[in-house]
Amino acid sequence: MGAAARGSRTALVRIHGHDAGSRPSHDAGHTAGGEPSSLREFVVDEREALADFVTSVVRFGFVAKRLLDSRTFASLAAAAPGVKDLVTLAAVADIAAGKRGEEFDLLVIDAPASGHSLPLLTAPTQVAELIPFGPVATAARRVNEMVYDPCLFSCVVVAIAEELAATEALDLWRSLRSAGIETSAILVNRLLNESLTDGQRAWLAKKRVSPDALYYDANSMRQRILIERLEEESGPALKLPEYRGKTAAAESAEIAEILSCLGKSLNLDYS
Amino acid sequence: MTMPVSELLEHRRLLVVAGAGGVGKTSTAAALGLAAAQRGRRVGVLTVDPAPRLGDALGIDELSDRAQAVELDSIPRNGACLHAMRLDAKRTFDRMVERFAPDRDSAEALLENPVYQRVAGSLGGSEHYMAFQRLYELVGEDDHDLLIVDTPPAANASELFSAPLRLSDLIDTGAASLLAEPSRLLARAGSTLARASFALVLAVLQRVVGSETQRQVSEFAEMFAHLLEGLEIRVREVDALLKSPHTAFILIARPDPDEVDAVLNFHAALHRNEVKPQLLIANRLTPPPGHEREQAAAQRLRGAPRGTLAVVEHMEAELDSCRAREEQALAELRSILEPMDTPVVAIPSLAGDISSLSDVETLAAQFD
Ligand SMILES: Nc1ncnc2c1ncn2[C@@H]1O[C@H](COP(=O)(O)OP(=O)(O)O)[C@@H](O)[C@H]1O
Ligand SMILES: [Mg+2]
Repeated sequence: MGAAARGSRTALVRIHGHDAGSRPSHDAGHTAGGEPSSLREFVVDEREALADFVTSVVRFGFVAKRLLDSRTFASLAAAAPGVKDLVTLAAVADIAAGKRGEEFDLLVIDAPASGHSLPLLTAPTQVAELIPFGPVATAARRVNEMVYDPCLFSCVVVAIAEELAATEALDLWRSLRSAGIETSAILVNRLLNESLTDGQRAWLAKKRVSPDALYYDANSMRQRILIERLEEESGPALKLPEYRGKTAAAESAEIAEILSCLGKSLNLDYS
Repeated sequence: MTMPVSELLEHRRLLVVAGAGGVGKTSTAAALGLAAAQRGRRVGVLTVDPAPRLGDALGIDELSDRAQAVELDSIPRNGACLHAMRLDAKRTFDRMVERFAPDRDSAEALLENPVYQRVAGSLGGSEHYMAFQRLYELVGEDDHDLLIVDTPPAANASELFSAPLRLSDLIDTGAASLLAEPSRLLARAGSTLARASFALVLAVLQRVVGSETQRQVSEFAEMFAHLLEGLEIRVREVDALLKSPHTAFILIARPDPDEVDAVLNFHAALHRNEVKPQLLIANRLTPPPGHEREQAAAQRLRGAPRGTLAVVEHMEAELDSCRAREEQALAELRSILEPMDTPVVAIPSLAGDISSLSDVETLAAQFD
């Protein structure tokens, strides 16, 4: 919303998977929050993307129908995990290319959890190696033209300030880089936004006042140490505070901030 | 009230600690292990991925199958002990090959086969499977009277159980699942149907990996087929072990209202797999506020450095809202799980990471 608020046409693309527990699905292409704004939201459904792709290749409606059947989808996805990821990205590339009837300046992809982001993004390359000719290979090339163009495509790795999340974020950061995919920043979300000065901490500890404040401060210290570890490798991290009691307003403020961070890291100019 | 944990710590032989990544499985497994050792038992804790500092504290930072004794004064010297081990999935798989291969030569040939090395190494699912295998070995070795296994992070219970517990669904998941999840295939090995599907898997494998490695693939297939029967028996044994009355499943979760649904789903899925979780540990509860909170902050902070009042009030308010959320989550969990005979126990969060044995002792004291 940050970018949208400044008048650029932005689309938020969520990927709806079918193997990692179902997430809520929306109608594709509605406007977030129903407000008049230029932020559009798309949901790319893995199963539908695969069905669309197969229909476009084999032109048999019944094959696509079979694919929508969950058992068939599950076995296909298991048999060729990369293909599912490839067609998902191909659907994203369609939106980016304006093939869904609208043009956008910025597309924000809400990628799956860290363990699956790299397989998703590198799937086209792997699939193309296995199946070098034909429609699948063409789709893979088209997707890679998008994914490997640092002027077009960049990743923001998002983590909460917790040991495991930070380790995973760093792993993902490294593997994206070594795969040759542009990374712009690590974004640390849900940060505790206050800490004590040395003087305050010492005074509270000595007088045994407010164990709460000392506890809170120790936790934000732990977060700072994690962030330092991240920044050693990734350069300055983007930081977002924790919003408690998620109201709709807080949530859209959060999205706005993420988008504006993204815009900055991609050097988008909205003026 | 006797803690519901006591019964588990004193009488069970196997505790399986499960939950999502980062909720505190490894820390809790270590704390449960210590608490049981303090009660005089010989305990082994098998962990999969200790956070670096906890691994250091337990002396298992190096990848090692071997039991490391954790030395602590609070463990009585009457034979009680606490051993920490780290899962080495590849070596566990290797030992299974050695155990079930018809002879030494074929075991060695299989171990050296590149396809085997790829499958046994890091592919999805094999870690869960191997954790249970290793557990089975340890039960057989009889060096411990309580084993605690800290399972790999699983987003949901079916991920955890896809390997040892599901023996049906063969056709459904498709032949080439060997590539994606070799453990599934293992789980179904042995039957005629399994053999047929194994052949299909190989056909797909060959197409996928290309002709160069075709020879390796078919070699692998041939050698691996010899193991199927043995593996099938082992799968059933592990299954029986997990469902035995000596075994208890413990679910770990964050007391967070946003997580309640996921926890309940996990719980339900365990039930569907005929496993009844005996305990839910809600880990990392914000510690209770001090008694001094009855007094207004301005009074307590008289004489404090400039700016302290504002920041302390903010922090206390934030923590109060955390507590309210946690209470809500705990109440929801209790109202649903306790009628299903899964008691809920809450453990406070320590101020720093769990990075020393004394932190583990502090956590273990929660079970007294
Ligand atoms: N009760 C607790 N108090 C404070 N920190 C904790 C507590 N339990 C776990 N942690 C911290 O949380 C992180 C994840 O814990 P860990 O046991 O490794 O989780 P898991 O094994 O589920 O991934 C570690 O940094 C650990 O120090
Ligand atoms: Mg762990």
